[in-house]
Amino acid sequence: MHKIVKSLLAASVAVSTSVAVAGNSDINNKDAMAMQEYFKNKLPGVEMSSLIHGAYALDESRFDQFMNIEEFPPYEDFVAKGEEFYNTPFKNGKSFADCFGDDTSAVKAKYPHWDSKKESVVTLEEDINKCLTDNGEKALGWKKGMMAYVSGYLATEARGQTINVVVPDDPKAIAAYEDGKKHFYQKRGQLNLSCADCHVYYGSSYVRSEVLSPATGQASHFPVYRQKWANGSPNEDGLGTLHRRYGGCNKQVRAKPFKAQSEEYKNLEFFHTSMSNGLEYNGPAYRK
Amino acid sequence: MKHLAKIAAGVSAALLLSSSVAFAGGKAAPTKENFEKALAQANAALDRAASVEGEWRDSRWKKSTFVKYKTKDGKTHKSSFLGAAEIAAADGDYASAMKFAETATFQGNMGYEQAVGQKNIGPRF
Repeated sequence: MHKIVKSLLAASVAVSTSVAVAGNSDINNKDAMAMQEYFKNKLPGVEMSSLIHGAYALDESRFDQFMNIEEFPPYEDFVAKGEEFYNTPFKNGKSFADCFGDDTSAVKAKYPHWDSKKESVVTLEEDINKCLTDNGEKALGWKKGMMAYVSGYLATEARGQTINVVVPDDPKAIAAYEDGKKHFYQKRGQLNLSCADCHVYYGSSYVRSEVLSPATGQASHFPVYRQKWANGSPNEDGLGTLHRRYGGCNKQVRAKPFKAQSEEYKNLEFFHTSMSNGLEYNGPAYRK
Repeated sequence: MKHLAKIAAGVSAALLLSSSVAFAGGKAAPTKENFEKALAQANAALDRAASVEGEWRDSRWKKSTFVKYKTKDGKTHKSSFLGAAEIAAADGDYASAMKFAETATFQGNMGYEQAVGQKNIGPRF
């Protein structure tokens, strides 16, 4: 379709090479490959690696419009603010680099991961706030604003790297993964719809004028810049985190949303990001 | 005489039956006391739904703006069903308040059944 589209084989190889090493469960890679196989059959001619562009990968005209917007990305200024914030030392003289290391390109790809001491999934946003509060700084809000800017900066730094979420061979880690998987497939809300209903079984179908993006590739481009969010913001700030989007999805099916960084959404992120294993990070990205 | 007694018994039974049907099919009177019972029932149903992560958006979520209710002062309030029930009750409109609370109870029961019914759900491919 376009030069950005990589071969199906490459994606499959990437997934298969990201599989378990000793001590790691392979459960998520098996699920990711099964889902990608499903989409290969459902969307013949569409390269799996192109699904990092969501619904834009499914239509040439939409893709061209998307690429035009990405030439002068509307999130650029916000990401620059995130970079400035990230590089500004804390009052105690320390900085984010003391928490995350000097190589900013290596940060994003470490998340989400299982922390065996905390017995919990840990997200990037969670560790950004932990770094701040551990150093006597005020925590940021979870869903937008500076949190999304900093997360956006680290996503920019990670562009081109391969998503490789690891589920350790630990019953508690596997249980957290399974909990996220259950959330994904479970119908909820008054509209009786699951994440999978829209983004697997009807992924690529129209909902009114909009095309539903396939679940594979969705987690690659977060935080995302949504025009819808920008329209409701006085300074056209449309940048938001993955958990902001989860809450929006739950509300759309008329289910009570969970709190950002709740155990439910962290486990969902653990499963959901795993479904893009083998694909590239390309966040932040523009979406309608 | 025996015949009359049979008729009287029949009529009594019919009256008893019709009155019990009317009672079963009737709604509780819109009073403060009955509203409080309906409110407690709704919260219990929603707590049960929440215990299985099955609560719906507009039942009692504080940020819901789905249900519109106009109070006697002409002001339109937007809230959840349970929120609207409390607003209507505060406005003295117990009939509407009980109706909203009953909807919230229904949603709580449905949310619970929905979540429990899918506890072993997984991919269909």
